[in-house]
Amino acid sequence: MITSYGVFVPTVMGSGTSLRTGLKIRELGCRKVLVVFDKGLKAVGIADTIVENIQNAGIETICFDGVLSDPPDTMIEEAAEMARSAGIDGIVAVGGGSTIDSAKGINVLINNEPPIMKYFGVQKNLKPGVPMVFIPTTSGTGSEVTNMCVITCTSRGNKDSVVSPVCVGKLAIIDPDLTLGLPPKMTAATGVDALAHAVESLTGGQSNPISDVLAREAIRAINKWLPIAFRDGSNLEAREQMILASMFAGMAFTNGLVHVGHSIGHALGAQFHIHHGIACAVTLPEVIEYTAKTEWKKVCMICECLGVEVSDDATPEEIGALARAAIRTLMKSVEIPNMKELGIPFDALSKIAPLVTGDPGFALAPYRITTAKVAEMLQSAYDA
Amino acid sequence: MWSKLIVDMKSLAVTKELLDEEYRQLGGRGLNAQFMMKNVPPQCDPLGEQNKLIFCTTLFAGTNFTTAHRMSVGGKSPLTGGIKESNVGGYAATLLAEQGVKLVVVEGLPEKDGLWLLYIDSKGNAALEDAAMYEGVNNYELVGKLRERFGDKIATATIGIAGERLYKSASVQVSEFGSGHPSRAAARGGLGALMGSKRLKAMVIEKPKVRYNVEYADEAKFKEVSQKLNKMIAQGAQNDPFHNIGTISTIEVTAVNGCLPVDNFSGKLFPEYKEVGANKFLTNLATRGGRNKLSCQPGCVIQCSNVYNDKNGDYLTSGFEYETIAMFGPNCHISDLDSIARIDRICDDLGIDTIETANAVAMCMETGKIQWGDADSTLALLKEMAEGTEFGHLLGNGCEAVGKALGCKRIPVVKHQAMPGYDPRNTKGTGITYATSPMGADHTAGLTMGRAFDDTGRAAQAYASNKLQVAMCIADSMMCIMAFAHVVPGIPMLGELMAALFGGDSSFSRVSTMGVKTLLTERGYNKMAGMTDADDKLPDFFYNERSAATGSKFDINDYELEVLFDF
Repeated sequence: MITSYGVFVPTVMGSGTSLRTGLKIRELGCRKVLVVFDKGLKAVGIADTIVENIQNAGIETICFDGVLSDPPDTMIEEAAEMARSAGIDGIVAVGGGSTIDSAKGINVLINNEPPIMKYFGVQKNLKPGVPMVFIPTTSGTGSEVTNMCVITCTSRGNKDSVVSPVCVGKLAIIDPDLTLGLPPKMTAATGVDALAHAVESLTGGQSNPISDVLAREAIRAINKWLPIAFRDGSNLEAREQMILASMFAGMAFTNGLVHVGHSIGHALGAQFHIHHGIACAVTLPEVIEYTAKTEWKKVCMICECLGVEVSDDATPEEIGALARAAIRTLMKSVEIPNMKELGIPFDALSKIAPLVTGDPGFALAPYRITTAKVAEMLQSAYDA
Repeated sequence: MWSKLIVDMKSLAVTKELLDEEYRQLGGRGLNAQFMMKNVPPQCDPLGEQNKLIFCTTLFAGTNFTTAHRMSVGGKSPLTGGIKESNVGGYAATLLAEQGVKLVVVEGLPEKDGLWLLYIDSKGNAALEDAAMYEGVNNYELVGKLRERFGDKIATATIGIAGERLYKSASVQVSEFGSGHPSRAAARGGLGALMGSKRLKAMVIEKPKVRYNVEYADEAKFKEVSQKLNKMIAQGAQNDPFHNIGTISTIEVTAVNGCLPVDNFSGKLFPEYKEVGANKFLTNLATRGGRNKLSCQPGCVIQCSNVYNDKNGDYLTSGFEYETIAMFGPNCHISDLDSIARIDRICDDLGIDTIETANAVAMCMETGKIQWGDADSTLALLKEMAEGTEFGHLLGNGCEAVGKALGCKRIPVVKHQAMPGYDPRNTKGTGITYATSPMGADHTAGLTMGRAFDDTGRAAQAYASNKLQVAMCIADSMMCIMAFAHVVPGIPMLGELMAALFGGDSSFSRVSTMGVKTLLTERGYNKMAGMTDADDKLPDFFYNERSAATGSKFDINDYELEVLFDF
């Protein structure tokens, strides 16, 4: 099989890197940047620190603090309007996936007419925007190294993505210090999002040797360090490993792409407003089990990275079952709730299934499954 | 209410009846699938008594919806041994609709020797008339004679000697709107042979004095929605190379992405592709008085048809299309557009599928019977087909027959039908369509080239093939696929059209359900005809040989194909 790997974002990483933000932005030649964050990040003081750091480098800042989770297109269009009239020449996003994706959406609209829903899908001919610098504060979205942004289409009530070179950052600043204060629930939720990125990109239709290497490292690291970061958020080593793992998983999936796990995540997220990471995680074990039929070699790798031994003569079904158990164990160890515990009614599941198969990302499933099978998967995971 | 004509070749009687209740909300490919399932035993001999040949119009026949006047020719295919819907443009569907006829069923075999034509006159009377004088007459001469006999307010669907001789590559040729040339082909699957087996030479439809009025549930609503859609399609057409140039414009695309078949699907690139591409075509049209932007049916806004003249400015052929050019051109290593046009004319005249025949010629080239790129020898082979020599007969039976007889190791067929102008290694979704479509190797059943994901990769190819196969079942039930491409932004409106015409649910799921049902019915038919998973594979060489242009093999997982039709 001939595959390719093409999306790459330059990165600076390590404890304290975010202190170089201003310097790096000046190196990129920006003079007036839009800084994008949410009110939560302002409240904990991180936003102010970054803004001040940028200003100290002699760069003018305009702030947009209105990021909402599962960023709605309307919010992005509003922010883009502001950015255009302010005449900014760079965008800095500091925060989680919603923040980074909002920044990307804004960048799409800098030189391309709204509404952003016109640009859903793979876009090869968008007019370029401005340089973007991404500073993740969760572990995480991986969006700082991807070429896509996920946006909620308010008129249709679903999520869709813009996939384009315009969504690729000029620099990712990976500073574990910024995640030291991440509460356990968020640590767990964003950590399993990274896990989903890694295992889905390994088993998806566009997997390739480079994204596979990155995905495997990510899984190993998450397996070891997520429980530690969850229990002891102040453990810097754990935070460092997790933020790197999240980045590796992002690099993996922007090239390898995700599939059914994220389609389920989008459907559940849209209906029940659950955190994206949890929404992807609740059925992830069953999803990986389903992939084993044709991707058993990759699922075997997942088992090994999770510390589960697979015998040489294991059948695809057995490998799938081992992976399912191992992923679930990992998730339970960081107290990821199941759908029952989240209060999702059981009879809603059969209605969720068509939303899953209707998600654009479903096209990347390694082999076709019916809506009925998706419902079965959801039901099987319901109170697992 | 629509009528159907039952043409009984045994008693030589034609009866007109109201269309069966169960078919009243069906058309085109969807109607063909249900009719065949109900009326033609899947295990029957395709050239025997139990097979039926049908002609039917689309769901929107008789309305002002653009391109609604496609005709489906259907039956059990003498070539594939499975269900066949061969879709064609031209003028016949328009006149059938004006006559109030949705479906023509030709059944039984004549008891005595003879040859007949079906004549539907301006008063709506339909009868079989003697056509013995036309035995051995090919399509162009035939159509001329029919116009002399019946006037020129007619549309014709005819077979040439190929259909009479029961060649498995025989087509049914339909007259083009305006010129009346028999250049629109219901080409695939040998339905011309089915027509020949019934000893039916022609269907002649006269423009009726009194035009049939379609009954609408809500005519105003229908007109409102169809106007919107017509406008959308017309706007889309403005930027469509099919409108601005013709289907030959595809050469420029496939020549550079490795999809253009070269030297019997060798996978190589064809450096001389510009000799058989859009620029050459347009230059020749301009300097020789040819034309493009022609509608093959009235009211079409895509207008992808053409008239192509020779060096002297004399008429050579019309409906000169990408498939013919790709398969007789680069795939046979021929780079002279005029020779290919001459070949196109001969194929239309004899009434044979250019895709099937071009692949058969490639078999001759690969095994050294004639040289690659030798247009003269190719014309000589066509002459043998016309004369009915032993080898001519073999050629008439298509690519697989010739390939096997000559010992060719690389026979590009699926379900015995030859492959069209897209190399499946470099458009894998299309390859999946070739492998799994109930129609056999058929690009119009689901061409996935040019979609979001890498055509030579694995991601989303099966998904795209599945979606498009359903979409094409929908399109082939209501309009021309060239126009359907532009309807996609307004696709829910198709549900509204259905409701405005028939009443009931206006949601798109009504339309998509029909598409899925058609596809699964066709598959079910084929299964009952004896087809198995083994028939859902491409020839081995696509799995084993790399395309030299891209390094790709057709490495799609068999399991992905197995579950492709799980709905």
